[in-house]
Amino acid sequence: MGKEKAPVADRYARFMLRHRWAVIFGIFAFAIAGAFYIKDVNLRNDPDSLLPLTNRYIATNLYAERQYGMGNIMVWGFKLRQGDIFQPWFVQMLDDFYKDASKLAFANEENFIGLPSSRMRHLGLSKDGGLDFKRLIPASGLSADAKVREQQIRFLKQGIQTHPVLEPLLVYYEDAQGNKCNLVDKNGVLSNQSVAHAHEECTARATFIIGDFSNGLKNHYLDWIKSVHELQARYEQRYGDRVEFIVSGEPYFLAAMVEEIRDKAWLFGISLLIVLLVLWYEFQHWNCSVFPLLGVGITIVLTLGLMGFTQFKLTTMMVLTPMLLLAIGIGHAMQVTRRFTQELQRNPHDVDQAAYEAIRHTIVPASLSIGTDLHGFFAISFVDISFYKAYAYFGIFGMSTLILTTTTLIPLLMTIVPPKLGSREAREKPWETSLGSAVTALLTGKWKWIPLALVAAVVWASAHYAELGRGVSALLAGEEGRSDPEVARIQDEFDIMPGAEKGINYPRAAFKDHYLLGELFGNGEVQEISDLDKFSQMMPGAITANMIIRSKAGVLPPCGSDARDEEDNRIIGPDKCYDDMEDPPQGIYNDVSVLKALSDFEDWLRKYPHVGYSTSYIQFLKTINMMLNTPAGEAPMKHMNLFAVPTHKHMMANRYAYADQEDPDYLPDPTEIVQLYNAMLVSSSGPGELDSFVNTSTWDEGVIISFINTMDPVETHQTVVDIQNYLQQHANDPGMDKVIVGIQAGEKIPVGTGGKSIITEESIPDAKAAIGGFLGITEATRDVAFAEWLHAPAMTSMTVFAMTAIMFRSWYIAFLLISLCFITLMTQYGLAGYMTSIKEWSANLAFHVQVALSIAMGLGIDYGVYMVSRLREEMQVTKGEWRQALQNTVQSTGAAVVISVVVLLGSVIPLMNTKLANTWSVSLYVAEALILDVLLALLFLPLVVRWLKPKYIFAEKS
Amino acid sequence: MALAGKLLYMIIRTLCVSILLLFFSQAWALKAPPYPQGELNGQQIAEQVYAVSHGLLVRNAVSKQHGKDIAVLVNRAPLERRKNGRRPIVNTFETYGNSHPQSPELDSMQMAIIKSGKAKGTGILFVSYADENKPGIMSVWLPALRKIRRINEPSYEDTWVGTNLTYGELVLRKPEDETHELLRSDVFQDCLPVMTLGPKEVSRYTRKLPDSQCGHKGKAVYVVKSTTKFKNWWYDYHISEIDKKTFAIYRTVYYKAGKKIKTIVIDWQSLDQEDPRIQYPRYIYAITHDSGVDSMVYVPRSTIQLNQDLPDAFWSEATLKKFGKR
Repeated sequence: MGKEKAPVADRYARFMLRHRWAVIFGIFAFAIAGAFYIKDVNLRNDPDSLLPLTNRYIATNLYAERQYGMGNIMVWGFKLRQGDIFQPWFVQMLDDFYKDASKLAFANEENFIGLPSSRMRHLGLSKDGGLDFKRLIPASGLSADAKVREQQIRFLKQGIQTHPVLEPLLVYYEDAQGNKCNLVDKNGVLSNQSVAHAHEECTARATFIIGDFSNGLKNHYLDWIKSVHELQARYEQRYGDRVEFIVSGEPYFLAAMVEEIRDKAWLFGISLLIVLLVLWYEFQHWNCSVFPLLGVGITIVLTLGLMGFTQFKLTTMMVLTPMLLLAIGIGHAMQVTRRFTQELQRNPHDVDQAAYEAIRHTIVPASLSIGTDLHGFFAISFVDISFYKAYAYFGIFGMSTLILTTTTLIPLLMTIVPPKLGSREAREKPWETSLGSAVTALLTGKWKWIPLALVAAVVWASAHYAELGRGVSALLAGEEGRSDPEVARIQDEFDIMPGAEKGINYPRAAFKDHYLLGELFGNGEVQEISDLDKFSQMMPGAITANMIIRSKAGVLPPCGSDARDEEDNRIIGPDKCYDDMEDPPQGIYNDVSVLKALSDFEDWLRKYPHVGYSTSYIQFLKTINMMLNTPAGEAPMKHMNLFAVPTHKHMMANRYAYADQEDPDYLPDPTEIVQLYNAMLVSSSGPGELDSFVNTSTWDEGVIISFINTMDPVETHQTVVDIQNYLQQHANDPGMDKVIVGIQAGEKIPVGTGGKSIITEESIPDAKAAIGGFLGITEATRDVAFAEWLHAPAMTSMTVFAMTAIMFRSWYIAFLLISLCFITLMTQYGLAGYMTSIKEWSANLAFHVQVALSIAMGLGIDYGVYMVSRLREEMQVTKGEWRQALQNTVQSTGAAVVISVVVLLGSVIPLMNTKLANTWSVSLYVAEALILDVLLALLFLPLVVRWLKPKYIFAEKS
Repeated sequence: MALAGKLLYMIIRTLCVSILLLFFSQAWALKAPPYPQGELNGQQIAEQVYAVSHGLLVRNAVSKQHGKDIAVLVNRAPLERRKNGRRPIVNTFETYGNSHPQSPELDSMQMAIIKSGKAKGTGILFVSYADENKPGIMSVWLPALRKIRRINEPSYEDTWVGTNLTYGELVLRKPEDETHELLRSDVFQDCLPVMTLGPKEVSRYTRKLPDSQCGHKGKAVYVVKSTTKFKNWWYDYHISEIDKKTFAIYRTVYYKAGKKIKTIVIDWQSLDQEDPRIQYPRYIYAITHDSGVDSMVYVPRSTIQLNQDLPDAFWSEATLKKFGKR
């Protein structure tokens, strides 16, 4: 192989030297051009764009956001340190904060909700007995007159405490011991007892403001979050001694991640410093330290420039790419620099010859090494997840440029500014010699079983935490075992390692709960997570689940102007088109049986333990029914039994409310009632306002939104399964038999603004309902993780196996090397199992972590490749003296491998000290794998080679 | 989660604004001022405008279906929510206004009946009292329930029948709620815009909507700036162009923090009465500039009758039931 490739390498080296100035200027020119595009890097950090849009969950969520809005919800919490929320100064502060928050950039003011909202009205009776709907807090704020102000506060308290829908959402009650007092009972129902307990024995300790923002903020995260911080700081400064301010929400989370990257950019400088120190230690020359950094720096600039130029939508996880390029690039840079200095030692006055030899000798192994590195990226480029693709595309690009920026550029620069060498460069360092001696002694002496035992122990521990045994047992249990739902699940999902949870807790995948750097400087608590935890405890739910309800039958198109002649006579009949002013109403939301079925579904949802709250158009109907049918002069809240869809059965059971005094036998027609309510609602709401709940054009589709009170990956998955099972079990109930829930496979869904659309694929087994909202995204992410956790590493291992087999022309060696990769992979699954066992949801085997499996495999194989190549070389040099060959290999290549991994760890350790969980977890998995790869390459591989005696290495002796 | 709040808000507003058209009178204890003479200041102009727009100059006024002509209200969703082919929401209605009830306790009585669609037959009666401290009472007849419900009067900022207009703008706001400053006299330069519908938005009723009105071009107008006296209000001030002869207000532009937020135009037309101030709003078109939400009310001339011989008892819940019986 070497003889065939040498001429190419020679020609390449000569060509580069001949045109060195053009090459140098060319590389620098591209780097400068790339630098201009760095500012355009689109760090959008938008989770909606991560997953394949064809996935039914994602398509449902996309459809829901497009049709019904409310995609960027923020929550502010205000918890009093003493007393209740019904204090004048607090109400005034709340009112002021509400107004300021609704003026923030990109705020959809009309969707804000809180006690000061104009939507917050008294649902009661006026003195005259009419229904009363005054604002709870006057539009102009509280009065300056103390007496009037007191009356206003009393009215506010009474108003919110008789509000059955908004009180559970907006007010947090706490007992004297600091425990939450729930307004709803264990069945999720507002009962007289539970409400009385909260009102009489607990204190209204906190309230919330919920805001909605437009997508425009995604292009201005940093400015936007700065204004959010400033707003909060202003109020904290004035009221912080009396009020605890809490903030959370999807846009806040995503913006905070981008902000964290900016704020911790100096850590990148620490990485560079570590690398510089290692280079200085290794070469003891400033230009031998600076040129490698310069070369790798150019690669990083080019890669970032390409990101900016292509406007690829990126996430904060992409910060790992420059760090990986730094780590891997420095390894290559060191190889070529070392070779250059060695050649210069031989011919001290011929820098051109040194450069020629350095390029000629390193270009092929560097290309092969980079080739194996690329496999990890290549494999993940086929996964339909945008950040996987981003990793792959920019990783492949960056890695490829290293051939030019390190292996080629560094020797060329050294011909212009050559290092002044002494005699010490030729010698190996003492630690390298010691390493060679110690490892050789261990692997050829009586303690050689220790590495084997350690490897066995690590594999066993990994299998234990990943619960490989339970997975295998479940798979072998066959049909008989399927009565156990968990066994059936393992079989269906081929979850051979059930101990390693593949689902995702999105907030914890974004942020850690504590971080080391913070601990070192005082407070390591991550506020984004602690605030979210507080909200989760205080509010009904932190993430949403959207159920899109559509009809099976569809509706007729509206009649156009051609439906009537000049004299206004209808010429296109009601069988062909629909005239909403004349024809009987169409659409499932005008059908009382459908409304009742949906109401039953929502009642079931509200009782479900992981659903804290729900809302839909059905709540409109039920409330308006209660308000309009409560006997005149009586408070509607005293007739909660009328909070119902007015079916015939309901009206029979509550005849007192529906009977006509002038015609005792009369009961209204349920269909006419709901159609009247629909008409009243649509003609009385602001244009487009009802569209958050129901399609008022067709009345044939709507949405049910529920709030999920858990983010535990196991519980969120169970919630999805249980909702899907409910819908399947009731699919043929009256009313439900007319609807479909969620987007189905094969549907055409518009995406973006340019008229683009996608066709959905069947991504959910048994055609179960697709759920939108963050719960749906979470489930889709879990599905993707299950599809990829074995698949992507398998793809990588296949290509790595093929590559190594071609490189060494030995199936034996390829098999040996890939076996090492599998050991490493097993330990990564074990690590995931351990993280699952301690519920560390920042680092379980969720999809963002899985990307590390393939990347680490591609990078880790290098160490084995280096060792095998060198062992063969040394066996030839020493004429088959295994012990000497091993010692020579370890103290040269082994030492270089150790240095490489030190550089890599030096690069990623700072990265692990931000608050961001995704970069931490990926770094953790990559670092764990590479450390193990190095140990296996040094301590395990030689043992196996010695025992198996592959011809590739032992051929000469035989 | 804001959806929950929105939900309740919708329900509440459904009840408190389900009154249709209070076009022609809403006296609020103010009686018709005489036709003014000489130079006027901003306050005097505002009082004249109030009298014109609140029907103080007639005893009663009716807008009643005449043949196929009927008053129409059209509301369109915000621009971003207008999907391809989405139809505007249309209501047809009749109104009966009484500005001078015989009972001294009463100030005015209004009645409106919805004439088409799913809410057909729904009727609303609004009674306001001479005592300014006594709030008005709204009674709603719900034909599907065969029931009357009473609701307290709406607030100034409540929107009116699903439009982008508020009760304050149309009905409740009085001249003393604002400070009025005459900026200048001018000549009205523009055509009054109308709702422009796409081919897929046109239906049986909307195809009859009028074209842009240019007949007011060249008329002498007052330009008056009116600044609200309410704290934290949805607008800071508005600038209105008012016909110097008829006191018809052709165009009002609202500003908040220096930014134009809403424009309302009204095509006032003569009813050929002796007093030139007695007119009717042939159409009202309002557009909110941020969202593109727009609303239009069209009242065909043939539907209007003035000073009908109707007893006060006509404005009653019994009439609502009679009109709304299914």
